[in-house]
Amino acid sequence: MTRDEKETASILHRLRSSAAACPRTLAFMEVCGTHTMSAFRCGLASVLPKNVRLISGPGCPVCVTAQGEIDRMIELARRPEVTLCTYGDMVRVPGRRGSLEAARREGARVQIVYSSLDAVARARAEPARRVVFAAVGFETTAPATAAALLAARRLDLANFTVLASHKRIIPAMRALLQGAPRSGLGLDGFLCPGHVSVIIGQQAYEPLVREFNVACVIGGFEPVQILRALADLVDLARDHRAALINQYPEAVTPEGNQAARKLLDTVFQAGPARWRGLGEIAQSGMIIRESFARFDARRVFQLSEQAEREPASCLCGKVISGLALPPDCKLFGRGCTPISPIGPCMVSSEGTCAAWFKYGPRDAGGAPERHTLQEASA
Amino acid sequence: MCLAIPAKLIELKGDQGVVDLHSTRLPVNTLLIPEAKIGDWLLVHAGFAIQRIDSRAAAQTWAALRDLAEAAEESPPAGAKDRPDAAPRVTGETP
Amino acid sequence: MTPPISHVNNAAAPLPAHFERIALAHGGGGQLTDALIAQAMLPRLNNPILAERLDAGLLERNGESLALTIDSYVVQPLFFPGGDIGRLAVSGTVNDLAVCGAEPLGLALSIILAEGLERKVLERVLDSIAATAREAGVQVITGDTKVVGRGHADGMYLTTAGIGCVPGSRNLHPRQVAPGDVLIINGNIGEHGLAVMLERDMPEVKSVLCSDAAPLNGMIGDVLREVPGIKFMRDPTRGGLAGAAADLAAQCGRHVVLQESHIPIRPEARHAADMLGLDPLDVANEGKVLLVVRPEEAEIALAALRSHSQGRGACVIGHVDAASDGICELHTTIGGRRIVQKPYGEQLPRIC
Repeated sequence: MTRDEKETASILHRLRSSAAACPRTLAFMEVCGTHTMSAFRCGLASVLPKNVRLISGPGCPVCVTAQGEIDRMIELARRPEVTLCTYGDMVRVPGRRGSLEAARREGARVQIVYSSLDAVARARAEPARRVVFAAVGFETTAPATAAALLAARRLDLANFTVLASHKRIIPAMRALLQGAPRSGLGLDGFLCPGHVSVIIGQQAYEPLVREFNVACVIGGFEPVQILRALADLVDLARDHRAALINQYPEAVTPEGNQAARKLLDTVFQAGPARWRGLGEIAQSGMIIRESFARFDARRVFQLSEQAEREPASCLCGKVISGLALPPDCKLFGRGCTPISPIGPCMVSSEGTCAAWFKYGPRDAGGAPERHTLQEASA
Repeated sequence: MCLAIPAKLIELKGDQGVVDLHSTRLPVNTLLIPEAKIGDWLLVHAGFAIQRIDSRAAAQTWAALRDLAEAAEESPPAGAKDRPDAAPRVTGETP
Repeated sequence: MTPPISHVNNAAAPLPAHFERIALAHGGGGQLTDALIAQAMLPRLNNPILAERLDAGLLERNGESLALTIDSYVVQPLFFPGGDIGRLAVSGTVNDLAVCGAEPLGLALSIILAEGLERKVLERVLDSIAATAREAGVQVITGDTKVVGRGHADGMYLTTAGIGCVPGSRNLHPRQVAPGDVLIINGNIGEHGLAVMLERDMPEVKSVLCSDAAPLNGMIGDVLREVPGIKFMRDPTRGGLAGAAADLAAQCGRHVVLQESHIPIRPEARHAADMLGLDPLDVANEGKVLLVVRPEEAEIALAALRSHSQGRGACVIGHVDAASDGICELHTTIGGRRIVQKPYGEQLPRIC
């Protein structure tokens, strides 16, 4: 047995014996697309005891970006004077009419960047064009956008703007907990996102733990790290304790990355944001401050807020709220597939429906098995 | 979305640097880790270093680094395989 | 949470993916390509040989068996670490013949050039085609050239066809596969796809990864001489090891098990895949072969593979189970189990 296998075995042993001491089904939620993918890839569900469920929450920033935002990105990209720069993750996400990829095929200038600073460099290299950086992501990714805005100001770039759709995870977790009595979501704790926590710090979860009496354990992304965090969550549930535990201390400190937080505060202020599937959540958005208004694409291009309409009969809102499994949805695997996604959870490869589609069980026809949450909890 | 990889800083000029892992090299910006210096292990996300990490912790935590650690530990120093002093921190407990 | 692995009877049927227009992913060699073939091609062109859906079609004539295969190459960029479109074309065609047990007799080469392509680019590719053909011991015996207007093609496309003869004693077919058989691969996976993707999408990243593109007919010929009873072979190109193993399970109707901890992958490749957000199992290889052999012949096959430079990393990575569900399953390093599916379409890096 390797060291890893020994450690995995001992954690699993702890997790199983703690779970056996719990008379009911325990439900934990992760709120990070990378946790979703890692858990599916290592076959996590097959090693967990029957009464332990890990639900995927609103943790994929591409998936929760509202359809109107995608439409605005595409609209900007289609302007002849605009070069739209964005992360590779965004190019296939469907808006109401096509995706950035489709717009590019029709002549729009869409550039995939690895770093926000690549977009700044492009603006400097092409002074005759108006470069827009379409930025999505949680607190992990937002500091990079803030750095790009600072660089633009320092360089006094007249042709660079940012269309920011950054989101804050804690207000979304809070909204789920506040809605729980009505929605019927029964959560025994959160597996908190490791890399968001690198920025916001362990302490950021303390108010949630206090106010809602909910357990929060910060976990890394290797399978054994996820198991370690889950074992802690099961222990806490067994002991009826709500505590905050940092099981990713290699990377996460109590106060987070101070330089990054300061930078975020310089550039953004908290404000309402619309989440695909969840609607508007107060304080969950990062709005570009007045002092950076000339780099804010929303202001510069006078983009209008449009009424949002979620695709009919799509259950993504319920899926990312932990109230349904992908196969509960009539569209899953039928109208809605990774190549022609309808709902947000299918649009990114790390979305819950996409991960389920790729790694989940199959039925006799080769289509994703239609195994529902009701059956799973029965 | 929050993919981040550990890598070692091998070049640094101002806040522009280069990180290396297993001979894969990529540019990195260290604005968010002002104290970064050459030789540090950094957690890199979308071109930015977001955290400095202990090299031993890195080797223990990330599978991609385990082979490096094992190669470097042909004659392992005592206790080198133990988990580094990174015990979980518990706070915010409510009864 | 995920329910346990389901037990089903037949996972061979392609997904019901209805389409009105061709998407890029229809050419990705994944489930969508299967759907395209099943819905558009087979209903019109089907015949017993095509229906086998092997890497090459086998024609029986006067007790002799001839293998015919054809592939098109549209890779961008044309040149990448470890290879180029020319080396890829010759290797891919030779390997498709070799995994069917055929010894290549000759190649046909069709070139589509875009107006404006530099002569030296064409000549560099042709030099590579010639060198790779020499390496494989096969000649280009006929060809065709067309030029399309600027903007109608991306530099250069190649199509190569190959013909080979299958010695009468060889019978490689998924139906030979039986419970207990073991799966062998000749070395590290994922390097071709990662090298090309890094070169194309992330030029700012410097990597040591090189494409493994190589003609494998020499090595495969030697293994077949040492172990004439090899059951089946497949080259895990587009769709990666996941695609090849899932296809194997579907075609032989058995339960195929892969052991994650046994699958060879260089740390450099694992790291690059992590960085791009890809599953290394899904990433293309161009110098790898997946072999299915009887367990008692595994050691001989491994020794024969390891005596070749392209097979030094050969190892057993899984086995065939008795269940007849046509599913491929991965036993993960934490003792978990999950389905291995053919990738849906083409691979895109996740960056952020």
